[in-house]
Amino acid sequence: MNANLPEEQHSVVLPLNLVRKADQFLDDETQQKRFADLGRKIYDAFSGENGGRPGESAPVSSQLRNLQQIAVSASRFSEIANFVKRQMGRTGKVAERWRKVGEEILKQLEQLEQQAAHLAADQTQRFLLRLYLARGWIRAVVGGYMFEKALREMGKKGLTE
Amino acid sequence: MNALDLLVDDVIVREAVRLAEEFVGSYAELGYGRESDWPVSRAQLKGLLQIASNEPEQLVNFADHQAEKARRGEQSGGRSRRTQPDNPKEAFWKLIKEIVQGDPQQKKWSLEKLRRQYVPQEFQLVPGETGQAKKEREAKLREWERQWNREVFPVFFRTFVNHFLYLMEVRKPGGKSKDKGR
Repeated sequence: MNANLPEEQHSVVLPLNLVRKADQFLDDETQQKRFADLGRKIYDAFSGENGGRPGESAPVSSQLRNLQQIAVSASRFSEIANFVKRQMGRTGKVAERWRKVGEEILKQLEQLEQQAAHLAADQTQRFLLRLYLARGWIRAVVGGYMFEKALREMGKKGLTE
Repeated sequence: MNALDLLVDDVIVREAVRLAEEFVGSYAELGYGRESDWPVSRAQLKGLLQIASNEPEQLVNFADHQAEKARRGEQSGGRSRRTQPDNPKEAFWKLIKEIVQGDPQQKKWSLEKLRRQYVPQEFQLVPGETGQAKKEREAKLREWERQWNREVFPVFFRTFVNHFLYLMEVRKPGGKSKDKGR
């Protein structure tokens, strides 16, 4: 930054052993189930939000897309929780939907942060690891959402055929 | 990634969340079911964020002004909750001032205290230095402080306000839960 905080740090790369440990955590069956369950809850909370024509597949929730975009592009891990709280703290129907799933999202983000602290002692590595975990996490959450969406739409189609 | 990113994730966010939690814990646990009863309105919070982004040096004046308005409202028997030990509206704006400047004894965490920890060596005032050299160093220090405020204050207050609104919303009747989140 321009304000002369301690030296600028660019292009720091996570050591391979930390990446492997993070992947092990993300791929763990229990974690995968939790992330996918959250995806299903997000589907329940936001389904029908974007409308969609009868007989056609409903669009993916724009709220989930926003969350995904933030998680993938954030330059700081805290931006993700900040985004969720901002959505939860608003007024209106969308905020009500966010409040149905927001606590669980914040809880899982906190666990990712704890995991990063557990795996990396170095401040810079911890910072990068949090972002790495967040990106793996959102992939699994979106996967859970899409799977639920497909199941529901197939079920609906099956009933109408 | 740069040093500001590390500072934000490790210090700024933690303090913003802590201070919002403390305030809500002290003043909102008694129940603010309706938004009109909140110690601060959404419009005032918007104003706070605008000033933190555009004119951070004016934040203390803004907070003083709002605290004074709250005090006058209390004296004239406004809508403040008299069952509480302090006027929550005034307390909110006193907290904002304290977040920027710290308490008179400088015991509490504040943005200015944090900033002092980061002053680069070349801008630190040298004892005994006088004349033009001193003036130049002071000018450079002021410019550095101005830049620091413009980068750090908006992030701090955005986090603080988001966390505050999130806490207040989940405490409303029909809000999702009373659990604290990160």
